[in-house]
Amino acid sequence: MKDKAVDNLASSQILLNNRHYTTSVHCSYYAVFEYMKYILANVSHNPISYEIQNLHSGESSHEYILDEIKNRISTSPRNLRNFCEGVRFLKSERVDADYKLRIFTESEGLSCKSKAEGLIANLKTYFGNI
Amino acid sequence: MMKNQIENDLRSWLSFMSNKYCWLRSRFEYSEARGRWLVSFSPVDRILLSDAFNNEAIAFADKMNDEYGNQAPLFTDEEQLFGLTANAESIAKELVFYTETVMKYSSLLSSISFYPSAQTVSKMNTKCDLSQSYNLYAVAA
Repeated sequence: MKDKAVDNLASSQILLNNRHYTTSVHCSYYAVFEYMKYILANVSHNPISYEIQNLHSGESSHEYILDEIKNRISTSPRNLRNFCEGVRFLKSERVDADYKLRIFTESEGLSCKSKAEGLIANLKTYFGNI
Repeated sequence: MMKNQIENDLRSWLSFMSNKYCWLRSRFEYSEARGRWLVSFSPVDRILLSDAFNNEAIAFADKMNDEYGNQAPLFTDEEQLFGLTANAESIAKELVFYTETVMKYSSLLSSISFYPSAQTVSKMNTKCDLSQSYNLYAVAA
């Protein structure tokens, strides 16, 4: 799953390089989502296997993953809030990119990838480079 | 329908929070492009110091997401994640209350003076903060 997250970030960059800004947003968000799933399955304290994670389906599974990550992060409330807001914002961009008529600009696509990288860096800070 | 319901929830909570955290300023508006309400808090330097505010904001955002899913409002500090237009509405503590309170207690403070240190004054960069400090000394007196 970690490799998938890394692949998604790489794919996002390839799409951006080829001016596919809207589709790059999908990859940027899923890089973060998959990295969170990887963390949950491999964290030392109270891990959740992929099998159990996958019992939650649909859009609510994304909030479930975020909730479980949030429950395991030890940081200031402000940092925690920033992280959750960042994930939810990126998720909302992905929903727009995948399901709505909205077309993303180059700067929006780049911004989403940058945010994804920042959120993954946060996860590495909170959980170590598992 | 859901847009109005979310708006009501937001107004109610933002007003409550502004009364509780007098330094808080919230700007919010509905984004047609995103199909969501967008909320930005300030100032960051006070937000950083208030674990209580951040915990309440986390709880409210969770509640909004549980209830409204992909329609839930998005939150940020000082428009870091997204920008708001000049049409965004602002909610902040009304300073009139503090002015009246200060006036009410000022007559009792004839022999009590408050001399904040330069460091304290530099942190109190709003009239609200300084008035609240005077209030605390009035209550102590």
